[in-house]
Amino acid sequence: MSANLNPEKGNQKTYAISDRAGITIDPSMKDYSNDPFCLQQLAEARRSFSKSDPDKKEN
Amino acid sequence: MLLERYGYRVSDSYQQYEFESAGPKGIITKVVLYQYMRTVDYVDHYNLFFGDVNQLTGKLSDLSVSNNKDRNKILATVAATALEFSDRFSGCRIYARGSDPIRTRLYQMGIAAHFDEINTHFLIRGEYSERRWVRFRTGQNYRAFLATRRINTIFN
Repeated sequence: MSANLNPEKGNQKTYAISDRAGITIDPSMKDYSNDPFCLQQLAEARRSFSKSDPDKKEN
Repeated sequence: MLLERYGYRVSDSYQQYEFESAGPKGIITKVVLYQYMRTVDYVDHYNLFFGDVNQLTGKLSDLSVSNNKDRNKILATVAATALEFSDRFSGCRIYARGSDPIRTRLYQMGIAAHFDEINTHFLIRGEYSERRWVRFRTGQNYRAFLATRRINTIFN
């Protein structure tokens, strides 16, 4: 396993999809979980999902 | 694995991911959020939120069409975040639905184009019609998608 230790924005090196290279843990990342737009999208997803019951309707 | 993806940053909660799309329109910051929705039959379901950071306001939007000529690489990066997330939140299901039918169709095209690879890691079901979920098949239109990580795959 390798890691990209330089999380510089714009670093556009690419990686294989299931390779763990190029992944940086960033504890200082701005948290968008309470962003009003995100919460609105979550509410819509919950409404949409509640209309389904995937566990009992799988073919 | 043949698909190329961007490198990305992940929050310490492993629920938020960011990366930069690069193309003719410049550098565009993308955000992927896995938002807890509800628990059904002891299985936690998370909504996949995907959007752009507006460079002027710093706020999120999933309605912009960045058209940065890197759609496949973006979709591969989102898929990689789903692998990372499902590694950390094992047993969960990921719900994905576009903010409009066009975007849902784009998701569907992305899944279809790379289905063999995605299917290696996830069981994908599509909502064919209200309350009717079926295993994903190419050439079929769906309203939403549910991804369940297969337990025997390894994220290298």
